[in-house]
Amino acid sequence: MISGEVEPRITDLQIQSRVHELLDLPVCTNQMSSAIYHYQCPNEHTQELNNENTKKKPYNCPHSGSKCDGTGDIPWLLLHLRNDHNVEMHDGRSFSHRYVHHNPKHLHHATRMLTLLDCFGRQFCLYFEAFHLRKTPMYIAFVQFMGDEEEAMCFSYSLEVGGNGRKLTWQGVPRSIRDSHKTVRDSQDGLIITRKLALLFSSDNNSNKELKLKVSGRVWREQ
Amino acid sequence: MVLMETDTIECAIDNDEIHLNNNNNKFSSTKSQGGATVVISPATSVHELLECPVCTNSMYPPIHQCHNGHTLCSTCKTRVNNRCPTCRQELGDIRCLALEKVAESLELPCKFYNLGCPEIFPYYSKLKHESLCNFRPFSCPYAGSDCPVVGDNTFLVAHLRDDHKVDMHTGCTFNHRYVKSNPREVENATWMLTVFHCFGQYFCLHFEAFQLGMAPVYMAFLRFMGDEEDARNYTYSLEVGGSGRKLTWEGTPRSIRDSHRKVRDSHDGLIIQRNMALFFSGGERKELKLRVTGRIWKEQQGPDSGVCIPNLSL
Repeated sequence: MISGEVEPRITDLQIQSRVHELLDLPVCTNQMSSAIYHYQCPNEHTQELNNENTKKKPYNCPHSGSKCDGTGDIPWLLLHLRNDHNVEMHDGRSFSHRYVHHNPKHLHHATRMLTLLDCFGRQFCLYFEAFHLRKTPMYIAFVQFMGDEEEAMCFSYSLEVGGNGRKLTWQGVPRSIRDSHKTVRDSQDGLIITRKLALLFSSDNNSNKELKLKVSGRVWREQ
Repeated sequence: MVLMETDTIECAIDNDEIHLNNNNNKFSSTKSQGGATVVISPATSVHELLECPVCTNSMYPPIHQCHNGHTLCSTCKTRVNNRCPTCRQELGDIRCLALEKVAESLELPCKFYNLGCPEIFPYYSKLKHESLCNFRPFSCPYAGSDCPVVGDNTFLVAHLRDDHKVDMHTGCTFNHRYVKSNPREVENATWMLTVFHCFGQYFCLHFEAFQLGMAPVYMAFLRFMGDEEDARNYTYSLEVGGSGRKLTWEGTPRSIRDSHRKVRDSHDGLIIQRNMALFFSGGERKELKLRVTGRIWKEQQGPDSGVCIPNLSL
């Protein structure tokens, strides 16, 4: 850290991604539908955290694939994701997945996968997505917190990809699911790699140009 | 010692004869010089015949000749306006097939024999070997316009320092801040090179801004001044971050045998999209002030151990 500089707040990143849309920086041109939720008073928020029967605004379903309109509180969303979207839930604060695809060069449209993590009495969404950033094929992975931003900031997460003697690690703060998946993706607030690099990682014992990307990570509490 | 990369003819007069793979001994001649016998081998005579009289490079098929039998390489033929440079007669389109066939039986030492290469090759495969020969000198690793200078590492380090004004550092850790007041000016790729001296070796740290497809990115990567086999003994890491976020790359340095452009285009290093780099720069995010830290250490990267992990199909 350079002394004298102010660290931008997380909301600055969110706002920044909107400004980037206007300035035609590399983000997709779809309109972002989610608004940024602000809290009026920290006291009110503290009450909400302690009170199970809170009347918070319902959350939008974080499964962005099918443009689902479902809204509800967190317990409702967890059931909805499991029953209606077949999303898997994993217990524990660390995880390790291998994403495979036999013909990664044939992935022309954005493809995403959502897994849920249950730890610290809370739930997190782990996204992995193949997409194009201005015609360059990329993969991105990031974690979002099923809850509000104030609580999301209490956590950190790391994601690691590697293979073939190389490793890339991302450490970040999970964004709240109040931000749509697309907002987070387009602000590149996660582990982002080109397909070329992903195939370089995959080329351990693999001459078939298949994608075999090992993504591991963990979530932890900051305070 | 500076070597420029042109194909020069070596005159192989020394105590070791060069043996042809068939019996052309009737062409050999010996001369006595004050008691010592000097052998001008047949290989030398034929090899001299295969030298273009205009450009002095070795000739490869198609080899041309004029009506009087003077030979010429195909490159020079296009530049002599149909006139033989040796006798000024009209050139025509005669091919010197016999000379091409004689060349097949010629075996010659690698042109880097004086740098230690012990191998001998047929005329037609010598060039290919020389482009890959492990004894060949290194090319200047400076990015940008392709500098033609070649030499050994000690020479190249001095060349980078004196001729390219590259910063030199001793030690295996670094902490650089890359500053650019108007980061939108990345129409052409810009780059920076720093040389690190540690573990008795030299490493080139590259940092550059370029367009990945149509998205502006920054990339940092390390190259090793030496061969790939030796590069594998080392590992390096690079890190950028700010505001609760951090990106770390760990990998094996590439050999400078791989051009700077090849490594850049393979994405084998730390790549950051420009808006994330601006976010890490803090402040107003209009200026690039990216702090990159890193280190080099001695370690071989082995293949990953086979841990059982669930597969998720896309």
